[in-house]
Amino acid sequence: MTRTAPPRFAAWLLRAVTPSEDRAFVFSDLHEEFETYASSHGVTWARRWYVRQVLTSIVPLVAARFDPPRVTQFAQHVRHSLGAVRAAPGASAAAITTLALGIGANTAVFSVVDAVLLRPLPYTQPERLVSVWQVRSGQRTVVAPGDYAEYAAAPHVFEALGAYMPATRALSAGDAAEELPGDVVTVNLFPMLGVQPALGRTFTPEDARPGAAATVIVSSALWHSRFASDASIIGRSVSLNGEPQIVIGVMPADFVPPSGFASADAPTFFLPAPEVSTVASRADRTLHLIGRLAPGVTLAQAAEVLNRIDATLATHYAANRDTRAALASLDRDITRGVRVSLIVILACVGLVVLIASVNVANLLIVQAMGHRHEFAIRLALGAARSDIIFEYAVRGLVLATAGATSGIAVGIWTRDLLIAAAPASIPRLNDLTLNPRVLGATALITVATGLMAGAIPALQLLSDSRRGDLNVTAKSSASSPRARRWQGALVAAEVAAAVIIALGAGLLVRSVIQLNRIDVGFETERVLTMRLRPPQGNVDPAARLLFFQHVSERIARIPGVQSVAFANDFPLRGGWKGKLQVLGRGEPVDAAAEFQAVSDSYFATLSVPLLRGRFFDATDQGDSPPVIVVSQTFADQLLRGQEPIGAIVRRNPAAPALRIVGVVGEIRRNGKFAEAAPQVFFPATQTRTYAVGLEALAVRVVRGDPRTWLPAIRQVIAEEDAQQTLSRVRALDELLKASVASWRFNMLLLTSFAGLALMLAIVGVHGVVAHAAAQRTREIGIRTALGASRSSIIASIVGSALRWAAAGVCVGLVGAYLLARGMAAMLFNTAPTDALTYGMVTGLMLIASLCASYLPARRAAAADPVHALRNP
Amino acid sequence: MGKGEYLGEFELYVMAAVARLADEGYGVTIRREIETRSTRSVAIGAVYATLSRLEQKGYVDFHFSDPRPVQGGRSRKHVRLTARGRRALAEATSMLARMLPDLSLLAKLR
Repeated sequence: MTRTAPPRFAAWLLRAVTPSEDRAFVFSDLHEEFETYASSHGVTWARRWYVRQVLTSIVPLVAARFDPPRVTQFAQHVRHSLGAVRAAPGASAAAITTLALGIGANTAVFSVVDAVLLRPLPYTQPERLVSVWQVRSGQRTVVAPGDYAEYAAAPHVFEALGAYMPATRALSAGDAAEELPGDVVTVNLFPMLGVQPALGRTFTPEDARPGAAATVIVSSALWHSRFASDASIIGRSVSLNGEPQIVIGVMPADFVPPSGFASADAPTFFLPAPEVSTVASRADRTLHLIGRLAPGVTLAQAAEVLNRIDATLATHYAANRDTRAALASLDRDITRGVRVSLIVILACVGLVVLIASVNVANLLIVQAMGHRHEFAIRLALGAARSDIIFEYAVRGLVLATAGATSGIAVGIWTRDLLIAAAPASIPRLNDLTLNPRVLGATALITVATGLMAGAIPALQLLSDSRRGDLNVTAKSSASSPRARRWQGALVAAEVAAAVIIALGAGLLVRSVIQLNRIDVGFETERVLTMRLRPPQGNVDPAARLLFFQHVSERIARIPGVQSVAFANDFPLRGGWKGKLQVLGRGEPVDAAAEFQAVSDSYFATLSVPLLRGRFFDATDQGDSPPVIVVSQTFADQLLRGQEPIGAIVRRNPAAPALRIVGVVGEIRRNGKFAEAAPQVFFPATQTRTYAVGLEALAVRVVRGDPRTWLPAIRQVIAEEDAQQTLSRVRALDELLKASVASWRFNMLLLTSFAGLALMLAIVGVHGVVAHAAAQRTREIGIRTALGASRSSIIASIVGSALRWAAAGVCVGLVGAYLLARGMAAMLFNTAPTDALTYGMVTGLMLIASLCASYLPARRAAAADPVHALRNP
Repeated sequence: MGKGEYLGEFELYVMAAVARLADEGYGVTIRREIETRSTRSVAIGAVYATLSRLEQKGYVDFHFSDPRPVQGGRSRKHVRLTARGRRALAEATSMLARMLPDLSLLAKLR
């Protein structure tokens, strides 16, 4: 029996789309007709008719919901807003420019944040990839092969665990060889990441078997630069470190290996790692581990399993004591160095946009004040409050959209600037596009800015009207106290935001100043360093010494060269550490120090001052009594009280005794962030006393860029031994600058924002005070006529402005403190509560507010009282 | 009408129906009126949406009848033209007559 009721689903649908005020009527009407048709045409027909009615009614009802009058109103408001913009071109241009700067800066910074922090890594299912390392005695370290094998064998943790190790090889082309950076990777790494070569094939387990043919995969960049993009490279043999390798694949151009994210030298080749078993070394910590978690396994669970393995290993092997595995998701790990600073920068640029919106809001308030009487009339005649808010919201949106369109252009340009200026320590800054996320964020900021800038004036006007402050008989320029309070509050908000950014910038400036103060103890200007490696394997130390001595002598004769030195390595590049014993009165004392083997001219080349005794000289030859030179720090820390010259030191009880002949100034071998550790210098000639190879050359020139001497240096080396590979050519000041580059960058960025914020805040304060003073011309006129001095009037105007500014500063200082706490990792030798910075920022803001309010106050006070009284 | 928008086609029909129904029309009767005369089916939702628009323009207003004296009877929302609405309707129809060169053209346009 067919139901005699309308279809339930259709009824539900109708209920959903009909506006509430008409719902009952629509239903009853439809039902009435349904029953009529049911009796005349049958229930089935009636039900079908009902459904047809509902379906054809959906569109008109929904469209009515969105209130077409609102749509036409919107278009009208947009037209009016454009008219208002044209009517006040100066003010509008200021507003739009302000918004463009704010939104543009925001877009630029957000682009960078998106590329670095939000964009997924270019691998398959990157959220399941993790980075694995070890923590030993509180320090992070990479993993030894034996431990890697243990972790890889752990059940139910990883779908796959791969590893890579940066390596350099000399690629021979004809007579010359060039050292190139690359990675040794486990054969499961690329499949685990989900990347395929563009040409050829990836590694297979066969490539890792002992005795397998030597294979290599090259990067796209190397294929273009060295092999002319020749497709026949697959199967060809190339010589790396003198050994032939068959090229089996070329990686795609957009491939970024995990090691390539943060380094300036992207790997150019990939070699397969031999199979690793659990009996492999546990002491050679060389492997970077990347794993893919098995389905359903969390980081915490994986960490737990691995730590249990660590505990077991610690009981079996001394090398594993106090060693724990640690994991983090790969993208968080890659960006861990810059995460905090990027977020701080994003927050600050958000504050800049806030200030920009407040400026525009103030501007609109001023414009609205001029139309007060018009609003009063409209409200009296029954205009809805929501209409007025709507109109102003549209006006704000129009300004914001205009600002955003030019802002995007500003943003792209600024972003490119940012990327060019960014230090190498920021990973993933390649291949930026305006992707939907960035555009979406920009749109969101634009809408929020526009709504805020528009709504505030509207709300202020309406609250005025509610209290009957709007004067319908208009023309009175007496400003309402409420309007002034709104503007004052907005000024306070602007000042607060500017204080926050300025304080962040100030702390960074102080950090950079502290950084600059640090003296590394050696000269970095005009010094070029490079690595010289023999073509393969070990060379007789005596022959090596001879080679370096010859090369040094010849290079020293090149015009313009001030000094040449050679060593195992130079500061800022590396060195080695070790233990020793100091022999003196009583028991030998164990100690640790940083070691280097250096030529006689080392100290002169690097301008390390001699404090006591002597440098190495011709009397210190291979067969002479072993001597060393130490740094002042060594003498202070390890020779307490003992006379350094003549003191005896030895590496271990079996090693020869070393006599100290000189003390030099303290050195921070690893740069500004390192401690000044005790240093021990071995003379390069006494090869028996040190175990490392001589590998580095430093050339100091008289003036200019030391790199210009590179061709001459290369020639000398080639003439002496063509097989030597020259690599890692770096000027020492480059290296030093690079180490502080990210601090400088953050500082520059934040000071730019602070400057922008300050400028906008000054403009804002100026505008508000000017407007407020203009509103009070009558009052000022009266006071002047009654004998008030000009300066007292100025003082009262400036005074009220300063009160608002001071309120803003107070709020701002609290916010600034919170920011400073969050920024602690970005600071160097500067406390988040550094009183000097807080004091200076406060002073700066108050002075700026003073200046910004003084000019308009002076102008207002100078107004002719007669004129003011006559035309209120 | 003064400056403002022109009446849309459907708005015109609804107002004409309301006028015909001597200000006692409501959803069902208005819909039926247009549907019969136009020989096209008319959605009740379109009628209500149009009435809402006309009310906002000030051309119609509503009055509500008492609930009908049957079980579950509801009150009805009746529509009538306002003075403004009557003027708008008259202007629209006379404008139409002025625009069309010849009423006999209508027959030829069919």
